[in-house]
Amino acid sequence: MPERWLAQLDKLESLEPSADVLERARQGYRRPSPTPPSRGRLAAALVALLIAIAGGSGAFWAFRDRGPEPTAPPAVFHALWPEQDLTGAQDAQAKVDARDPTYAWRTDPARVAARFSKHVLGWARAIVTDQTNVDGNVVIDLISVPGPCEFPGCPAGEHRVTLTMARLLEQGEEGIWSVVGVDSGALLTLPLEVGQEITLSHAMVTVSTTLPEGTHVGVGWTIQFGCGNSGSMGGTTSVHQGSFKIVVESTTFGNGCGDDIQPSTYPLSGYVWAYTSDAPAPQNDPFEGSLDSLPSVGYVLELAAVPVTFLPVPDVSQSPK
Amino acid sequence: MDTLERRDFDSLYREIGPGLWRAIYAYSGGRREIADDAVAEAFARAIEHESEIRRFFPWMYRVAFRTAAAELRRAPNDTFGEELWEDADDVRDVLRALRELSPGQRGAVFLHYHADLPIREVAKVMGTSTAVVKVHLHRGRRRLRELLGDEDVSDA
Repeated sequence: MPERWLAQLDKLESLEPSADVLERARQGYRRPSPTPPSRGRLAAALVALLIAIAGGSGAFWAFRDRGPEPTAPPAVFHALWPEQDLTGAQDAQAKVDARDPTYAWRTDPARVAARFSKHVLGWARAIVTDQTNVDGNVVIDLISVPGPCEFPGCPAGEHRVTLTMARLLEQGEEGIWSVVGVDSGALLTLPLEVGQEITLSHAMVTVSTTLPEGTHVGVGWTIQFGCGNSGSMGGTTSVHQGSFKIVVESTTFGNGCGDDIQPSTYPLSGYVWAYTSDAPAPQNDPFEGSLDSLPSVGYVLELAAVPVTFLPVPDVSQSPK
Repeated sequence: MDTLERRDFDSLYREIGPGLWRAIYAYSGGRREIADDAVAEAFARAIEHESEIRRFFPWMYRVAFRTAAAELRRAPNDTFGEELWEDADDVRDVLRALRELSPGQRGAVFLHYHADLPIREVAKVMGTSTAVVKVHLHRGRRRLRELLGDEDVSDA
């Protein structure tokens, strides 16, 4: 750690706690308890999820139907790409285990990164500039190569993203790699941890960024309902005074699988995302494309996304009076 | 520190209170109210459970970090704003840099590099694994390098 950084941290030594901290402790201080989540009103509710984007516009809600009828409550599974749910990842692992040559790339993190750069970012050419092993995970830095690409008016500059990859199923050499985190360094990083719990009740994420004032950012979140369906809510916001906000909230909600809604469905997996692209008003989920296509959101310039855990909105009617 | 007699909490507070407070302050990205509340609650619980605690230092850090983490989950960043620049001017830059890190990265960087705790201890007081701490440190260093300069790129 450079001395100059340590010197910066040393400056915090000039700060002191407020004068009454010990006195509050002697009086038995406790934080106010948060309202406990109640799942009682979830049972029959239909999906009514909202996203409020500070200063934004064009919020959309979109379902994706990916699979069969609901079977069991979903396991919470924290991954962004290529699969976002456990069943999909297990299918891919089974293909690898069966020596399916079309899945061989899943066991090589650099090849996963290369496909990610094409199908999620839309980069025709990208270079891995750094690959670091960190306790079983792999962190890969990608940089775009300017030049001809498949989007009209491709940006000329270089762009960078950092991918964090993990083997979430098998740990050996045959284990598939999944992208579990994306950020674009100082330009765009979400202040969220992988798996962080987000209550669908006006949860606000403030993202500090060095993107220029007024930059349009596509922001939103996607939830896996555990029945083969997922839903995304997103819109466009703008950078204002070095930051922008993503607000995730709901009034009532269910699991998007029809009327067979069980309270035990929660918690649910999903992810929060933010990106800029060559589109003037980016707003769609950047991970919604397929492995056969270019990204529907255009040529991505910066991207940040974190898999999280969504919790139901607290039932305020059950709160103590 | 682990063999303090029972119990002069004034002395204990003088000994570990400010350091604990600064660790939580860094972890929360400079949110004084979270640091105050977390330290007050940790000491309140220590007073209440005095006879059950064998090692005060890790116990109080764990309680304070858990308390602060719960607060950050409740209101992740929504009070980040100009009002938080009330602390001294000379910490403004380091706070600005710390806020570019995730809470886990902030806590790990502060405890390991500033408080000199070994990674295993950092994991204990943050209530996580050493593997997760190493990831936090790796990514935190990378981010700080981007924000504060690149005069040393080693992964010490």
